Amino acid sequence: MKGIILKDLYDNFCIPKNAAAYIFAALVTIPAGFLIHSEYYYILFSMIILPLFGGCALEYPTEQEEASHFNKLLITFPVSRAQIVTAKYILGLGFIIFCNFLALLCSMVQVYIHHTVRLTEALRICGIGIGISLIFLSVIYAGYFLLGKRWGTIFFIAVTFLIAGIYGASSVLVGIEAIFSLSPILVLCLLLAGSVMTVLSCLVSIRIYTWKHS
Amino acid sequence: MDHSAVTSTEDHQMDYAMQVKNLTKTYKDFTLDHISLDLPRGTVMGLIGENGAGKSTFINALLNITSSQYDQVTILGKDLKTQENLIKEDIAVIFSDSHYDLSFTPLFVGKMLSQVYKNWDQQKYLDYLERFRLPVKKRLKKFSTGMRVKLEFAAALSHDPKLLILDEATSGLDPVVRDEILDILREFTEEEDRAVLMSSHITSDLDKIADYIAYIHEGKLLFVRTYDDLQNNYGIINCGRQLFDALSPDDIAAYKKEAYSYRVLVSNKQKLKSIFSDVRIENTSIEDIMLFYIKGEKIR
Repeated sequence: MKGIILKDLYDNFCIPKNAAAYIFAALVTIPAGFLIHSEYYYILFSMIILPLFGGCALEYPTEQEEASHFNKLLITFPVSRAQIVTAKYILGLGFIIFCNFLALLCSMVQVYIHHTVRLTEALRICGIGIGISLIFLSVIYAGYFLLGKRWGTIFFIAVTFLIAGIYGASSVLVGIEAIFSLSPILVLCLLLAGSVMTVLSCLVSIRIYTWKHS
Repeated sequence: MDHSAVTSTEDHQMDYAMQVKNLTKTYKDFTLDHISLDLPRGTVMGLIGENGAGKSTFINALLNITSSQYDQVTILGKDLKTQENLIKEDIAVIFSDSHYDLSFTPLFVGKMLSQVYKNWDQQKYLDYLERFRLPVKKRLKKFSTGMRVKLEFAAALSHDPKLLILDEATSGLDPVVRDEILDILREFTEEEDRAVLMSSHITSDLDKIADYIAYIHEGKLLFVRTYDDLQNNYGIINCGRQLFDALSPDDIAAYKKEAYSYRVLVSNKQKLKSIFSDVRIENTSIEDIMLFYIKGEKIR
């Protein structure tokens, strides 16, 4: 599995056009997350923008694999189909850990430097962000495995707009204060739901991969 | 179907790199029909047949790339159903239609495969790259087709595989590169515990290297014969109607009727030489045999 993770990392960061896309996205979004004194942007950054990066870990490898029909060769390696899919989920989780670590750093900046939110509120936002990351990863990954690069990316964009829409609508209708005052139990439930969905998504993706490559 | 040259139930499983019994794969419009063959260690088997005959389907089924039904598939003494990953540690495969990403460099391919195969020998890999004069840090998209195939051979051979499977791996290469590849294959099979299964349209390559020929036609295995057996027993006779009628139908594998004569592929050259001592019997190539079976007529 290490070889597959290494390959996917290479596809993401060592191919100039893909690396450039990451650098551009990071430059556009991350500095603002640390510098802007805004509850709205802080929530948008921690709960939507950063969680989306977890789903990106599969986009470029899928593109590269489809271009060279690499999956056929991959299946001749001494790894099972389940291991191939699991390796990709592990990398996605790695992305989530990194992104949510960034979200935590951003939270600390917002709490102690900008005084935008209190620590308890910031931790709640981080928890929700991890939950959304896991749910997003589970939905997007199953989409990529089922639909391939082209339609998978369209699905990715559609889900992104949906989440952004839900965020926008809830900001207007309920107000972001509701997010800050969300019960810790609900945050834990969200985390649990995200974890369960990730496991289920991985199992479904293994079935999809096996079906597509048999 | 003649398997006698290869199959012997008394031989131990370990003498074979591969044993296949009744492998079947059914699609809507095509069936690979009960293929059974054995590949002895230390040999090269050429898999021939026209486009769509089922060669790639057979290879994909052997590698479990595509699902299939079979009574038994044993590769390197291990059962495909229960020991697939163990088998894949000891085999290497090169396809014509599946490659390493063109953005990879040979150096990265080595790094990746060192995490995939337990037996990966990075020094051996670098030696192959040097021998094939492949730059280690150049992306594959800047390589010629020949260089890419050589890289795939370097990658395939650096984990000490015992069985090399090539699916049209040399198609599209110029004769010089193909000749280099054949040298590599000869070198590879110098060790007795190794074997090669090679499907190719370029039958002249198989003439140079194959010990066995397996011929698949429309999903069925027509024969598996040793190359020497084919050379010794198959021949072509150009003759008129009188001689054609005198030949036993059992000796005629296929024939082509031409304007004023017959071209006959015979399958019992030695016997016919003794009977018709004044008749000239031409030697055949694998391509001749293939073309006769596909385009020639059979005596029912």
